[in-house]
Amino acid sequence: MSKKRVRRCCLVIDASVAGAAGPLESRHPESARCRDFLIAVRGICHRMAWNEALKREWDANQGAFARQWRLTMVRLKKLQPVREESLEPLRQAIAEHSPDQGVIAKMLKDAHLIEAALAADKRIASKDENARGHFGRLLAAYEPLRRIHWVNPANEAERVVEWLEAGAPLERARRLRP
Amino acid sequence: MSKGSNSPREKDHEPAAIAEIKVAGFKSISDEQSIEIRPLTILAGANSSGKSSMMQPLLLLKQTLEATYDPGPLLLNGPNVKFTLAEQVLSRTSKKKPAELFHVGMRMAGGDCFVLTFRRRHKVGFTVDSMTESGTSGTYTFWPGMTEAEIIKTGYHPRAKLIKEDLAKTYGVDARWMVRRRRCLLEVICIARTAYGNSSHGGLKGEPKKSILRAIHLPGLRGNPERTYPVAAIGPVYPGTFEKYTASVISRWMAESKDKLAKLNADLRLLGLAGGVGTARRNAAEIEIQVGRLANVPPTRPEDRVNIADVGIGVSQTLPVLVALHAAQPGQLVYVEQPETHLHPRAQFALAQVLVSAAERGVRVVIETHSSTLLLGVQTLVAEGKFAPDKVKLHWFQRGKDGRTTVRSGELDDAGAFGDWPEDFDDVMLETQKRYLDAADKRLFAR
Repeated sequence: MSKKRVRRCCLVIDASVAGAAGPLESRHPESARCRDFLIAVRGICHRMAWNEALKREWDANQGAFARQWRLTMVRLKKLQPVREESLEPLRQAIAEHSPDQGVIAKMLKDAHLIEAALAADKRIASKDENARGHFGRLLAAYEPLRRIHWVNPANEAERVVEWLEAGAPLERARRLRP
Repeated sequence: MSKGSNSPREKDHEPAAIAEIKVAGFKSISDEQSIEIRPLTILAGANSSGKSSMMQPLLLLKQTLEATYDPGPLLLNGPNVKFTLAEQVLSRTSKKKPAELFHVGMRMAGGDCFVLTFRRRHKVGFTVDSMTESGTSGTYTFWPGMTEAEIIKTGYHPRAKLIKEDLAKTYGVDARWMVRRRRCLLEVICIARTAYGNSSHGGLKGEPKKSILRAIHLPGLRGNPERTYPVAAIGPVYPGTFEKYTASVISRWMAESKDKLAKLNADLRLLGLAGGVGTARRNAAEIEIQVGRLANVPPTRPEDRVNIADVGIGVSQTLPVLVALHAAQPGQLVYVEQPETHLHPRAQFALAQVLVSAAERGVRVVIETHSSTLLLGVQTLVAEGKFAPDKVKLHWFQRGKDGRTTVRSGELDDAGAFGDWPEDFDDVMLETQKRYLDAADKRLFAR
């Protein structure tokens, strides 16, 4: 991986990517794309946002490859601690978002991604398209979500490695959509 | 090494530790490179990146000073390093011909430095071109053939003229200052030649010489396991390479130092290599090394012990390293090439604890390694607060397209992370894992 000079960002990387990167946890070629993504993050010298909530999710879901990758990120000082803060307006908006308690529970479970991204560089990498859709539909209810940019490393069409190589720019196309 | 220095260490005749080594013109180290020596110094990099070349000049000096005869300015082919031609030693700065000079310098823990420059001589090998000493009193450079006037002008001996007059008066003959070669070093000396022999004043400063002689060297190949080992004298100076002293040192500890033997046995168990080690004197000239048959149970009966040649080669390759680390005194440099050789990854990780323990005792441990696991072991001990990060120094060796070695040095923080230090073990590990996983996934999902 070339280490050309690009803007380095602090990304929130969902444990779904960590889980998919390991062997047999995901359908090929999704897992290969997640591995490519993680290697690119490290090689381009982007940082990963890190707090207790993210750690819990990673600990529960990471495969062998992601564990090794995470270790190398620690060695390189590329895990960046970010504030862990429960945003009550966000959680209130989630609670009022849907009559389906299952959806609410799922969104509350993923709220830590939004909270960490707002405390970092507003970028989330996750392969959870359901969560992406639900948070997109919450845009009107919670204004700060407009600042969030979401990529799915498992989706080839999103060309996330190229995005990383370009400095993970805040592109309109990667914003949450209602 | 500084003139008139009166530190408690010097009074005790304990030489200062080597704190820095610098080399230029030697093999791939064309431009001067230096490495700081901390209690635990780690040299890493690809094969043939120049790691050994950084330490070989020190070993050349050691084997020259230790030779049982005067081998001239440099013993090229000795027990520690083996060259047969001057051209093998010198950097090739162009395709046509190698450099004419190389130098090696050292800074001691007290701050005093010396630099020795060697020049290639056709059909002779090398000559000492110059020697520079730096200390609190100044920097002085000497070379063979220096005139008396030039020596006095340096101010190296502030009372040089008085000393010369005193000597001449005492012996009734002429006295003269001169620079004289002593093996690979130069000494500045005032000699009065009398009918009964020479009387002199001055001479070699002992500290760098002692520090070089005290260096312990464990090469990457530490010999095949033998049924018996020759009896050898015990340190603190170990001429040549260390492995041949292993049996005799253990034998001595069995008789006189149970504490050291217990620590050695604890290390063997920590590494999962043997339950314990002992020796049996076979005759006046030979000693047998016996190790516990089971890895984690101390041998108590004779039938629990087997000859070291009958167990895995990891034991015979690692035992000399462990013995050297316990035998070394504070300040003494122990240079180990590939300490992880033949060790299982679990033992490589545990080896970090052994190296750190020696470093904590004040031994200057310099290792050359390709083991990411060993490095991770050191990082873990730092992150756990069991080893201070400022006691570790990392040096990464790499060669440019022109073949020249450069060294990039790094430090650990209190989390054991090394940040921008360009270690590539992890790159290789992730790339190889990814390649395998991509290929395996393809197969599995094609079923």
